[in-house]
Amino acid sequence: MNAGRNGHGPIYCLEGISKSYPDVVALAPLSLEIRREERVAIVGPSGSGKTTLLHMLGGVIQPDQGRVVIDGRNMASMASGREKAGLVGMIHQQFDLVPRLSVLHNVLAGRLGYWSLWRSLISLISPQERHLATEALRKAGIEDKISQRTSRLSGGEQQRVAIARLLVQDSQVILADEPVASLDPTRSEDIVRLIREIAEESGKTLVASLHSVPLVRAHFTRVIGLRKGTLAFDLPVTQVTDDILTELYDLEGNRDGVLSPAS
Amino acid sequence: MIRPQDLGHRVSFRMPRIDVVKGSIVAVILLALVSWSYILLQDSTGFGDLFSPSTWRRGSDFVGRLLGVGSAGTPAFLTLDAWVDGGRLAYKTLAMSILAAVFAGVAVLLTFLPGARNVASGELGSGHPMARYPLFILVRGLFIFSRAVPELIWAFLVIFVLSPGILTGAVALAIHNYGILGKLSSEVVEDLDPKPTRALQAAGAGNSKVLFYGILPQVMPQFLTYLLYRWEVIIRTTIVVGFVGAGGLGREFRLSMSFFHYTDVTVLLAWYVILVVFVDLVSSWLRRLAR
Amino acid sequence: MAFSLRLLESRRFITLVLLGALAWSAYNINWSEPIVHSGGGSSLVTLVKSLFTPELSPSFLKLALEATWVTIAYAVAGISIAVPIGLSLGLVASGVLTKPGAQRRVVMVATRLFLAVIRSIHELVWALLFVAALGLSPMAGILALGITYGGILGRIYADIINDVPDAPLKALRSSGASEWKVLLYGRLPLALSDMLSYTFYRFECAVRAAAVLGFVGLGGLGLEIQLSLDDLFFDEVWTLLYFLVGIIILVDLWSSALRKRLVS
Repeated sequence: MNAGRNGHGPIYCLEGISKSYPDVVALAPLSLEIRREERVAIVGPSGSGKTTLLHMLGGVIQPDQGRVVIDGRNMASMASGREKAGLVGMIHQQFDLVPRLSVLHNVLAGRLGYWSLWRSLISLISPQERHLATEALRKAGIEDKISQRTSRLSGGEQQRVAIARLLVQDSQVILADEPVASLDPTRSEDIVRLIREIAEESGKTLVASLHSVPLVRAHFTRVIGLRKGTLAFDLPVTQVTDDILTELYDLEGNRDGVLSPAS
Repeated sequence: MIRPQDLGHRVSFRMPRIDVVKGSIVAVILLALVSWSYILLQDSTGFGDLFSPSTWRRGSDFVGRLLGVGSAGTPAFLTLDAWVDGGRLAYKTLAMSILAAVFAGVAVLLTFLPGARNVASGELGSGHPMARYPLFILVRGLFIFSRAVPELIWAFLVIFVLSPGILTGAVALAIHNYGILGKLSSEVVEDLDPKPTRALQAAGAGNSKVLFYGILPQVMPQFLTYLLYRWEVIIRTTIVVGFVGAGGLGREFRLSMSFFHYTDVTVLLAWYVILVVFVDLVSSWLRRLAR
Repeated sequence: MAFSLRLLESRRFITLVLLGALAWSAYNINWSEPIVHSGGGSSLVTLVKSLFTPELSPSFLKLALEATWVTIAYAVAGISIAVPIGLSLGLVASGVLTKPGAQRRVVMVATRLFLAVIRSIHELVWALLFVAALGLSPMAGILALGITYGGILGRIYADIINDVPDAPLKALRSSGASEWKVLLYGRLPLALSDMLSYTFYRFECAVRAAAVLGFVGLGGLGLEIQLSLDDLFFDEVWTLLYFLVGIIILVDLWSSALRKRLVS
């Protein structure tokens, strides 16, 4: 695994990034650093800019102003898919797999950034680097589903496929946008634990947006609170009290952010 | 013939379910191979001709003549008369297409209900079951038959009975489109939510009231959309029924081709494309309104 | 202004337009001549009578079977040309492989316009033009079918490829896949079932169209029907029509079975 072998500085340097859409400011200018191997949880009510921030960290959207520097390089000027694939990988709330493809191909899609177009084409007929997919699915705990059609899997299993895809991509950073929002509490715990273990084992950096306070407390090292696109707090997890969290959600009078009480 | 017991323990006795999708893909590939080899094994396939220089010379000659190369006198597309004549025919052709759409639409409105499976089973509306099923089979049979026979063949048959003219073409077009529209409309009825109509029946509404207040309002928008789509297809096909003497652009097109009046062909083709584009525009505008 | 807009949008307005169109077209019929021509009535009787007495002699059935096979072969060959045309032009017209910008828009609009032109001309007209250019050969008919149906399929393929859900594609892009790879691993697998089911529906239409191609002198059911009509052998015509109806029903059953599997 290649994570953590490049450079020693922070993995992320956000330099005054902001983003606005026609009728709303999604993110006001924000600057912060994320160090290697940190596990950062982003919390905040719905519409506070969590997804926008994660998408900018992943280079899916570009900031209006400022820049995202990853591993010492400007995200916006990253040309090749290969380079980006080695740096950031992402999992999503709705898993975002291709239902008609087999689990195997959905996992191998994590290699697309590294493969030539020709190799991608061949792989659809004769799967390439199959051992990587098998190994990743074993780690994700669903080895036996390898040749099933993805649409037949349950939500939790699909998220494990998405995690396996991330594993074969083998990026330095794992971004997770509400990875467990569509799952029940028990499955949520399993999935978040799995993501955390993967990050810890191979020294990857993890940035995730989450709604569940117990999961944040159990698996993350640092918490960033967002409110209406601005930074509310940025603290080590040990210093995040219930009061701070209550204030984050309550000030808005906004309760749709499903704040589960600390248990 | 291999009997299951011959295979012994190696195979479970459950027959493997044939996957429709995979079976279809194999069947399609086989069909394509057989068809192409059949066509290419014929004496004069024209396939080799596609690559011979003489064919290309003839082809470019033909295109040249459409564009007026070597025509005696002024090419037709440079004379106002030809365009005016073409315009008059286009006008008649448009009328033919509207008549065809209206005939088909009215016929469908009169018959689509008995053609719906949920009406035949009594799930929607009422009526005597002894009458419903025969009627269902009759109407469905009519739909299939009139749909399976192409417009041009209907035109050939209709011309034996009706005098040549746009009415003949309209009737031929209407018969074919009756089958297509009928099938589509019956399927709309089959997809209807039965609850609103049951509520009406419970409130004591009779059959006709259920039809006008429960079924038609739900079916009409979709029906109109289909009718307008079919109108777009009908205008393209008017030229074809015209070939057999049903009048309009098609008849003149066929005559000009036979007499080698190629520059007239160009004018008629231009009017044809204008008509098609015009109908497409009007239809999409009306479809937006109907929604 | 507001009033006229509301008028335009009302259902009543549509009704008025439709009724007006009907009146205008009815006015265009030449009512002065008899609608049913002399002898039309007796022709109708013969036609309907022979509906129940189709020609069933073994030799004619063999001929009808052969003609049916030729029609199917032409339809299959035509569709097998139409699919690659539709797929390649549809991909260009969907614009998914090019970078956004003015250039892409021009290419997309131009391709869509081209597709519109080739499908707006009926396949029989294409066939007549090809026969005039290439001479009377099966290829003229197959090319005519392939071009018209290529235009139809291309437009629909482009729409289907454009309409696939965006989220899985974004996920692929975020793992560094280029647009070509997104196409292979995202768009095409997502669009495939819709594309297959539409292509099958079009195959049914192609069988009918291939039957009609007989009328420009190409073999198959159309040619046989025309020959029998010329001799006024209506019972033979009906036999041939029953064969045509038969294959249409078969293709219809096949495609609806397939569609049911693809949709679920």
